[in-house]
Formats: sequence, C-alpha cells, structure tokens
Amino acid sequence: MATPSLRADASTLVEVTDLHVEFPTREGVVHAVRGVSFAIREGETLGIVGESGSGKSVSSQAMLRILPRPGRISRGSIRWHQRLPDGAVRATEITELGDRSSQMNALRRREMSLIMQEPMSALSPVHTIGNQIVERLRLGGSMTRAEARLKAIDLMRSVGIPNPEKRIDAYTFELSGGMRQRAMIAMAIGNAPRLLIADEPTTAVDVTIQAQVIRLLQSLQDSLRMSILIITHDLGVVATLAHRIAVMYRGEIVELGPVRDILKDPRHPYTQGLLRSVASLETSDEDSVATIPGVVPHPFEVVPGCPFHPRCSAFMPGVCDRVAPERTRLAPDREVRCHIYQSRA
Amino acid sequence: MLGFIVRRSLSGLLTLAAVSVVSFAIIILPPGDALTTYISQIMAATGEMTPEMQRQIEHMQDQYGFNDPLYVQYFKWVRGIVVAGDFGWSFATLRNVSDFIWGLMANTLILIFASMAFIYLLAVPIAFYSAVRPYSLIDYMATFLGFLGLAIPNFMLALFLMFAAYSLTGQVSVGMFSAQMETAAWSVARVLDLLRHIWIPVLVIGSAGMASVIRILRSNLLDELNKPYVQMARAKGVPEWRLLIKYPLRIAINPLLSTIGFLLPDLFGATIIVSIVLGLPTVGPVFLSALLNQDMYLAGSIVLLIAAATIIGTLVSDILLALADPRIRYE
Amino acid sequence: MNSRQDDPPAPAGEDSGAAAPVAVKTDRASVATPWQLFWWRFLRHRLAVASGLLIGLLYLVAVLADFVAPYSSSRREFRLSYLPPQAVHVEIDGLVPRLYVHGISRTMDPNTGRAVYAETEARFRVVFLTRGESYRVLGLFESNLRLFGVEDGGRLFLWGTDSAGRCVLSQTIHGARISLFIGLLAVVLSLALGATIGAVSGYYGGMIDHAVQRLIEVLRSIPGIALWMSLSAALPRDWTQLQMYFAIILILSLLGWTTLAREVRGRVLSLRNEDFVVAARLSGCSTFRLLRVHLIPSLTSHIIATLTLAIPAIILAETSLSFLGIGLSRPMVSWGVLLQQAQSVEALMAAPWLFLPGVVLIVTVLAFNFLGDGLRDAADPYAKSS
Repeated sequence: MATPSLRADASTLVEVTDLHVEFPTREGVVHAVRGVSFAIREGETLGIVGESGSGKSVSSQAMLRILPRPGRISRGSIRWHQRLPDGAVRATEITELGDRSSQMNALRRREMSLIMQEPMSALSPVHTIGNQIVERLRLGGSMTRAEARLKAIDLMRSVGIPNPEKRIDAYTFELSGGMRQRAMIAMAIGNAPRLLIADEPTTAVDVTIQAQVIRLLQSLQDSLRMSILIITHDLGVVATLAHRIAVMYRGEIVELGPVRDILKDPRHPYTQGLLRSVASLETSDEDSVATIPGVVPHPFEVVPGCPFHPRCSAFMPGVCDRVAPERTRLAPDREVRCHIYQSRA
Repeated sequence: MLGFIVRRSLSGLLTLAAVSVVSFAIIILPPGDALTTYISQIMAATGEMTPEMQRQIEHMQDQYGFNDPLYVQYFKWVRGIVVAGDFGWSFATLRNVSDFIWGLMANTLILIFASMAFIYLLAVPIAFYSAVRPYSLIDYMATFLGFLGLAIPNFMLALFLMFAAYSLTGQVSVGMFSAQMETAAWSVARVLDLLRHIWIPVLVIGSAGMASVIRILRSNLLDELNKPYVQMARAKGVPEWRLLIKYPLRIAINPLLSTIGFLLPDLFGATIIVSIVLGLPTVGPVFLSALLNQDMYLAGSIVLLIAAATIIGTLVSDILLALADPRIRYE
Repeated sequence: MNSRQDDPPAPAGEDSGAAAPVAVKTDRASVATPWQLFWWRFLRHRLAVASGLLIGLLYLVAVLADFVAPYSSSRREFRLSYLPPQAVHVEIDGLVPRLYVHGISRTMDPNTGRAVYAETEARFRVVFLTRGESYRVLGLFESNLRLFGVEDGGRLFLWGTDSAGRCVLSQTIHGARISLFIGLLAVVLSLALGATIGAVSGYYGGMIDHAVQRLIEVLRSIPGIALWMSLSAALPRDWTQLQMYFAIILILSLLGWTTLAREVRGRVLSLRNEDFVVAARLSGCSTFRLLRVHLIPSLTSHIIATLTLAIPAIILAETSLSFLGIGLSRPMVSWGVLLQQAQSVEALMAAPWLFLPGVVLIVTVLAFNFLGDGLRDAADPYAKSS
C-alpha cells in the first residue's frame, strides 16, 4: 500500500528494517534472514558479503518479492522511496504489496532490476536474447515492437556486445559466457532502473571477464546514476565497486560501514577472519592460508547467543553463548553486532 | 536442420531393418513349416491334390523360398514387401496378407490418433493446473485417477464401460461403425457415426497412457517453474499468467513431443487388447487369431507394420522436437 | 586491496535462488548411513508404507493359500454353478457372537433355463481353524487344517461360484500364488539382465553402449504385448504346466529388462563423472571393483524402486495374456485365468462376482504403484516426481 507523499530523507532510496525471512519446511522452519536492517542511498553501491547460506541472496529476493517457495517475509519492513515527476517522494511499503500485484510489478518494471549469477539459466533457453530484452523494454514503457528492438540493439551496443544487430537474434547457448552476462546486464538496465541488484554477477565467469563486468557496472553507474546492490562472497569485488559493505553471517548483518573503514579496520571477529583469509592468499604463501575454523552451522540448528560464537576467536564463555548481541553504533556510519563492543559501549 | 533430418531418418531406417528381422523371427518361430501344414490340411479336406493346387504350391515354394535357407527366406520376404508390397500368404484366410492388411491398419491408426488427441487434450490442462497449484485437490485427484488408469487392466475397463453404456442406453455398441456405415465412403455422417462408436475404446486406450503423460508433463513443468529464468521473468515484472504461458508451457511442449515415442507402443498394445474385447475391426483380433492358427505371415506382418508405425511416429516427434527446441538443432 | 584474482574459487551454486531448506540434516541424520536415510524418508510416505504392509499380507496369503482358502482350487460342484456370494449372518449365542450361513436350495427357472438359488432355513456355523480338504505343506507332509470353513453339510461360498461351481474366493487366493510370484520372479530375472547390461553399457560407453542402446530401441519400438503374444503363442502345445509357467516368466522378463537397463545406464552415466568415482579410478581401482563397490551400492535404492514399479506391469501382462487364452490355462489358476470367465458384458451382468479377482488385481497393482512411488521418492528426494 502506498502511503501518501511524505518527506523522507531525500537521499534514501530504499530502507530495510528488521527484515525476517523464513522457509517453513516439513523438517522445520529455516530462518534464512533474521532481523536485517540497511539502507541504500541514491547513486550508492552497497555490497553485501557473506558465505553461502548467509541469507544475502534471500534478502535481495525479498526486496523483489520473488522468494522461491515456500519462503515468506515473516517480519520487518522494506520501504521504497519513489521519486514522482513533480519531485515529491512517495514511500511504498513493499512488504505490504502482493507479490503478484500490479503495484509490485510496476516497481519491478521501472524502479529495480536484477542480474543473476548464471546468465545461462537466468535467460530462457528457447527465446532469443532480443525477445527477452524487448519484453522488458515494452513492459517498462509504451514502445512499439520495432522501437523496442532498436532500443535493445542500442543497449546491447552500450554494454559492449559487438555486432548487436546480429546477436539480437541469437539464443543464449550461441553466445559466450561473457556475452551472455552482458546481454543480461543490457536487459537489466533497459528501463533505467534506480536500483540494480547484482546477485553474484562475477561468480560464474572467468577472471578476465570478471574484470570487464565490474568495469562495465562502474561505468553504467556513472552514466545512469543508479544505485547498485551487489551481492557477493568476493571481498575483492566489493572493494573495487562498493561504497559501503554489509557483512552477513547466518542471516544477520554482523558489520556495516564504509568500505574503506571496514577493510582497514575490521571490528567483528568474523570480518577480521574473512580479511585475514584473503590477505594470506595475497601473499601466496600457501603454507599459511588463514581460515576461519569450523563451518557454518546447518540452517535448522539453533545456535543460542551470538551465531558466530562456535567459530569465534574472541569467544567469551557465559556471554556469547547465552545472549544475542545487539547492534552497536561505532561511528555515525558504522555499526557492529558483537559483545566486545557492546560491553565497552 | 536438413542434416539432422537425414541423420535421424537413416537411424530410423536401421531400426526398421532390425525390427524386420525380429518380425521374420516371429514368422519362423513356431515349429513346423506352414506350407506343409497347409498341404496336409488340403489333403485332409479334399482328399486329393489337383494339378492346379500343385502349381500354386510350387509357385509359393519358389516365391517365399520355403526350401531355401532362412536368410534367403528372409530376403525373399523383405524383397516382396519392398518391391511389390507383398507381405506373404495368409494360410488361414487363404488370401494374400496385403489384400486386407491395409484396411485393418487404417482403422488401427484412426483409433490411435483419436486416443492420442484425447490424451493430450486432457493431459495438458490437467498437468498445467497440477504444476501451478501443486498439492491442491485437483492435483491429488489427477494423480489418483492416473494411478487407477494404470492399475485397471484395459480389458476390464473396456468391459466396465461397455456395461455402463449398456445400462445407460440399453444397447451394446460394438465395432467402429454401424452396419450401414461399415463400408460407406467417408462423409460427415460416417465420421459422426465413427465418433459415436469409438468413444469407449478411446477412453480405455487413453486411460492407459494418460497417467504417464500427466506425470511427465507435471514434473517437467514443476521443474521449469523453479528455474532461475522464471524467477528472472518475475523480477522483470511479467504478469504471472503471461509468464506461465510464455516460459514454462513453451518448454513443456518438448517433453510432450518426446512422450510420443514411448506412448505409441503402449497405445498399440492397448489397442490390440481393447479391439479384441470390443470386437473392433483393427489388427488386434486378426493378430490374436493369426497367432492361435499359426498363420505366421499374417502375424509377423502385423508386428512389422505396427513397429514401423511406431518408428515413423518417433521419427516425426524427434523432428518436431528439433524444430521446437533450438538447443537440439544446435547439437 | 586488490585481491580479486587471488580469491578462492567459489563453490558452485552458491547461495542461489534455490535457498537453503532442501537438505535434510539433523544431528541424527548427519551420522546416519544412506540406508537409514532412505528408510526414514520412506516411512514418511504413509500411503506407501500402508501399501507395503498390504503387499506383505498378500504375499503371506499367497504362500499360505492352502491354509487360508476354505476350499482347494480344483474343487467343483456343478450343481451349484453361478451361485451368488452367500451372506454371512451373526447370531448371539449366550454372550458370544457366532457367524453362520444358510443352506442353499436350487430351482430351475423354466423360462431362462438358469438355476435360481434361495436360502433355506437350515443354519450352518462358520468355524475357524477347522479340518477341511487335505493338502501338502511345502510338498512334505499332509495337512487338512484350514483357517476357516463351515460345519458339515453346509457350503461357504463367500464370493460365489463360477460356471463349474468352483469357489471364487478360494480360487482367487490360490491364483495369488501364481500371479504374485510370476511378477516377482520375472522382475528378478529382468533385474539380472537389465542391471548388468545397463551398468556395463553406461560404464563403458562407446561402441558397446551404442549397440545396447540400438537393441533396446528396436525392442521398444515393438509393442510389448505383441511380442509377448507372439512368443507365448509359439510355445509348444505339449509342454507341461510347469514348463509353460517358467516359459511365460522368461518371456515376460526378456522384454522387461529394457526399462531397467535404461534406468541403470542413465544413473551410471551421471555417477561416472562424480568425484568419488573419478578418485577411485585414479587411485587404481579396477573396473569390476569400481562397479561393485562404488556404483552398484549407490544404485541399489533406485533399483529397488524401479523393480517395485515393474512388478505390477508384469502382473498385468500375465493377466492380459491369460485372459486372451495364450498365457496360462487350467488347471493352473492365476488371476488372468480366472478372468477368462468374465470376457463379456453378459458375464458382467449375469455374474458380476466373477470380476472379484479383477478387483483384487486392481488393488494389488495400485498398492505396488504407491509403494514404488514412495520408494522412488525416498531413493531420490531431489528428483522431480509427484
């Protein structure tokens, strides 16, 4: 339900507060996201970093309301700030929309878009690339088929697909991995969305193409002035692309702040561990690859207290395994969820 | 694409050749030689051998190679079919097999096509609904009816339906046409007459294949509905109904086409049984009596023809599949 | 900080749309053997478990047919042909309820010339664990103990009688022996053929695979029922009943192996490139050992499920062949042989109880299908199935 126009913080595009997502299954309920809060500002790139199963993709799927069955948002709010032509801002509560409602579809068509990890499976195998880009263009605005086709060729050229007049009639399996990823990006930026959600855009492609994709996203952000939510397990990607990062572990954001600050001075023991493992790889001293001991507990397992305590190097018995830590604000722009800082505060 | 068609046709031809060997094996399988049996039957009936009959027998010996080694017999049989459309001599009916086999085959194929149309017309919407609303009442009912269709032997279902038709209308309809329409030329009236008669066999034969088609389609659709590209289409804001039609249904056509290949033998099998129970003028009852009378050229020819029809059907479905799915073409 | 090139490779399918809740792993499950997991998943399918119990009961009845059936399969009483099922009544004798049936009187309808039966005043008790016709137990010793029967002088035809005055219930129970075991034996034979050929074909690939696939394609393009009919019609007429029985089993299994071989081949193909198989091969594991130690065990649960689904098809095929008169015939009694008497609508109208063996057949086939479905789900929880 859209609330009447109201003055919100003009620079905030979307505000996620205390988001919970759960998957009820026969074996029990999996709490994939437990109380996540973050905001994305206009023109900003937020990176969400975490291991597999940390809930980072699920959070973005909740924003688009495309959670796979039987997932559902059980608590929290996702507030979308839509800029109207007259300059006013209208806030829409996404969690209150039906996931197949026309309001939700309107947001998906014009306001946000998605890039997925595997372009091969994220694009239909039996429709041409052009067909799928044109579909998006025509959903977003009133264009004839011919206009949309010309626009699609322009888009494909702008993302660096050579010979787009020919490629537009190709099927996904006729393109190389890099070209497919570019085609998906062309489709995503089709209606000049205000938020581009990139879910592991560099995981499925090889290293040289990774670099190209990242440069492409950077230049697109500069020219289109859109916000990007980039989801990845790769600290290198966020280091180059993101302004701020959120580190997720077991469905919670354990640390959030400007990318430079966190990389220079990580506070949460988990973030510290993550950075150490990357740094030790960088020195390519194979004997001393630092890892975080232990594994992510199974989603069904209930971990009392802080979810990271079984693997934590700064584990405080009696505290960390009993009480869940609260969010602690370290600076105006930084927060961490750890007992170490809570007790000091 | 042309290369694909040529390749597939050649491999179909190879399979057909192998099937002809199996059919010939069926012909020579029973102990004893058909011609000797035939001669002794004539002798027993008439007591003497007329010179005319002697000539006929010598001609047959030469034509079908009864005194030659088996492989020569086989090649003579195949050559007869390919060159002259001669499938051999039916010793039980004293006619050439090719004189009456085509009419029976035509009736059989009518029944098969009608059953297929019935299956797909019903299975596609049911499977689609079941996949979009899994674990709904209709989904469970469709699954249960499918199981029931699998479990009831065709001949029993045919009898039950005949009984039901008799209880409702007071008459038992057997055959594929009414008496006055049996030999009439094709016309609207004859088609209507046909439809009045074949709904029972079509229902029975259809029930035999329906369950597996629904099952395959439903699981394929369920699978497709969870694919990232469907999620992607949702994220694009494609309206749900359009999304369902454009993406998964489009792709579900592929498994549908590929079911034709394995459905056909099942349908032929069901047609044989059902025709015997209901007395339909298809190859079914003729096949059974040919086997019981050891009229082996007739029996072997029927096996060859229905296998050939299956192979051609599979070939056509493969080509349609390649047209529908660019990935197969590409390989 | 420029670490991108040096990052560890990402695990495939990481955190993708499929979300977390697919894997079933509790503390108990993380230490369970694959067999325990298979068993636990199976137990969740209530319908399949119930079907399994029913099938167990049916096989028990089949084995103990002589004991369970009130009469032998060959006992005939022409004076009581086409007798409808008798009603069982209850009387209270003191405080104990007792079952009894009435006597039967027979008159001829002068118009139709058919026998008409009525109940007489006489009452005969249904008695349990009684003495009846004698039979041999396992071919070893004589016995005449039967689960239930009727007092001397009475008749007990709970499912009526057929044209020769044979007890339909007793015949159905005796028929279960042949019908149920024909399915089991034929499937075991198909398994031996299909699993071996399929595993070899899938494992070696290349020319062998190609040849086997061609053979299967040829066999599958001929409708099974037509081949079955041809082969059983070709059986020598002077063979003994036992020879016929095993010949029919052989025929049914000769054509049943193709499905199994396909199934096994597909599984082996997908397993062949799994890490643990590659690892075993690289560490010098012989081909035979690889098949036996690594591949076959990971296939067992699938094979069991496929087998369970193949049995009802064979039972139905036997029934159809016998129904058409080219399968088994009396004095052997199978459900198909019994249904030969129910070939026409007239039979269905005059003596509908002759279809009772068919009802048992349908229930059996349904139970096998439910059981097989549950087993398949348990063997492969990730497979797309209903």
